[in-house]
Amino acid sequence: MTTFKSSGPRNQLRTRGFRRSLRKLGPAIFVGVVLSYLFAPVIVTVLFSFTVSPRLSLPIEGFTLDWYKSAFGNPLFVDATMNTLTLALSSAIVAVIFGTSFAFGITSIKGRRRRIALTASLLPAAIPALVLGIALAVFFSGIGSRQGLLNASIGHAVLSLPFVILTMNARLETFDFTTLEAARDLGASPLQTFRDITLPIIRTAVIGAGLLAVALSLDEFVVTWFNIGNEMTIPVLIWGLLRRGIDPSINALASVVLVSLIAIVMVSNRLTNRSER
Amino acid sequence: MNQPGVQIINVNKQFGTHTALHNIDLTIKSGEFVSLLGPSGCGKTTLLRIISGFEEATSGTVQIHGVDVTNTPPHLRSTNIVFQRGALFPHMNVAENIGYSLKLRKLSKAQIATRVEEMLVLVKLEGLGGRGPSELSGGQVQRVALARALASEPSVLLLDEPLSALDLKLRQHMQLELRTIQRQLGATFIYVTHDQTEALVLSDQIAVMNEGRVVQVGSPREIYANPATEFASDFIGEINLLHGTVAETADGLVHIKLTTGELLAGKGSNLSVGQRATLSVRPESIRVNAFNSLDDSKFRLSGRILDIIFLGSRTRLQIEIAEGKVVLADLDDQETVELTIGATVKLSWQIHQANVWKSESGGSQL
Repeated sequence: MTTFKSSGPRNQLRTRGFRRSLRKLGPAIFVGVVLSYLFAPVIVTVLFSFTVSPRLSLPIEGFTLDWYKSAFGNPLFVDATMNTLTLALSSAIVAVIFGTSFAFGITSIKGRRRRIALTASLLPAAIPALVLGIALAVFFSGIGSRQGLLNASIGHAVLSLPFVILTMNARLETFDFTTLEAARDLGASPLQTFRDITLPIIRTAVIGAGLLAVALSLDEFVVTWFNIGNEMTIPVLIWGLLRRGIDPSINALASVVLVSLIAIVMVSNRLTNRSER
Repeated sequence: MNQPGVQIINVNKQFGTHTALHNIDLTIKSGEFVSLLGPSGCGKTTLLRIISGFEEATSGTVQIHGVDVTNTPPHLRSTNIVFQRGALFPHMNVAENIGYSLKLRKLSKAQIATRVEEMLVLVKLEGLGGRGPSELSGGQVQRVALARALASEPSVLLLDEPLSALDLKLRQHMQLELRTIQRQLGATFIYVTHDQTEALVLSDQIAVMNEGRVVQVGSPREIYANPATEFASDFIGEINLLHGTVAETADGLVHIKLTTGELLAGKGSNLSVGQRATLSVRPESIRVNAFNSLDDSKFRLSGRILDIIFLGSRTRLQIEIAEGKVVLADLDDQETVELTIGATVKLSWQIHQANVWKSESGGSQL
């Protein structure tokens, strides 16, 4: 260390420090911009579901729960909720049963044929919902199936099947199949092996995949719209309300859907990550 | 008590066009420790899976204690397996793993608890019943797997290279324990391994397998001293193989002329003059510069010492007898005092310690 110091190096040091903090700050700012771009509309929706003024305008004059009251008070609301839950549960159960069986099935196939089977099963996720919705509607009318909850439920199951398969396939990659042989060897029948070994080991992943399917079904509109006929779901109700003009009770409904989806996806994520140990 | 524990009668196994097992006939006595020994791909694991019921034989029968089980599914057979990597149930603790087969047999909770405790003592894991499989070391996992397989008192225990994932020290320790446990229980153990030392240490009987066939069955001593084929002699222990052609046969003795010109002799049968043959002799059977040991003065083999390697209890010489052809000789320490690298030495052995085979490999011959 020298005692003599000119002011030059010190200034250089300061600019270098500033540059360094800028270099750190830059990415943070960028991330912030992207996140606000993603979430600003959502935040606005939630915010205006609580405001007194029926118009979406600033400044906010006060807060109220009236819009929630009016949304829940809508005579169609109860019906739509029941239908939405029915669709979500039935399609999730179907998707989980088929998806899990499929994921187990392709573990016995090796190499190129396995990759082809897996890719083919994931394709519905890449097909536009519009195309899928119309295709299903045409197919159902072709086989003489009336539009309704059943058709919509089948449509939802098709939509969530790829995500269930993807989740279960990932889980089975770390699954030790010799444990199943060990159980059989120790005297367990195939059914007992499934009940005592397979199911407990994959249970959390199955529940996680099921919740994902529920989340996908809850807010599905396009496929539902083409196949549900005269029945009502929450997304269909929101769409109907929108046609009559912007009404803050729509914001209230959307906020309810949003909060339930966030909760479900969070639980689903935790379960599928934990089950992979 | 010498009824057959497991009888394998004329078993064949095809995988598509590949024949994994050729006409296997093997009788394993009840209460014996038998090893299926062979290189990877020799069919030993396939044979084990046929005995356990996880593979179906293409033809032939499997009997356990005289009962034909060829078409019995694995969960109804009285055989249990110890898998290579334990295959413990990850969602059950050690005690639940060990007690699983008993739970399936509908034993009472108290009976299961007693038996599990016995098993934990047997494999020296007292007090670890509450641990999860992920909290165990590799050696402990295999101990639990062993206890789990033994808990329901199977008539035959099948072990599929259970120690191969462990380090050498632990492996040697576990070998001795396995031997003790088997003697203590008097159970039939069938042990699959590619490690010849392991097979020699553990077994009452060894079945040497190669390319889907059982090449030789015998006690470790028999197989080491009198290997039935060139493969068995090469696979078990270290051995020198010298190639040549049969020059003369008489009274179970075969004279063989090496490709390098020397004339040697060893035990052999079913050979005719002019046939290509291989003479095998163990490194520890070879003496250096010890005259008179040669039964006939016309048998001579000499070479140049390439290296002298101290191995602790013995010393190994690498001796070049011809360009690129090296013979190993293991000597006591005193015998090597006067030897130096580069010196030329004469090699000899007792004729009964050498075997002559019909050459198996059509490959490189020196």
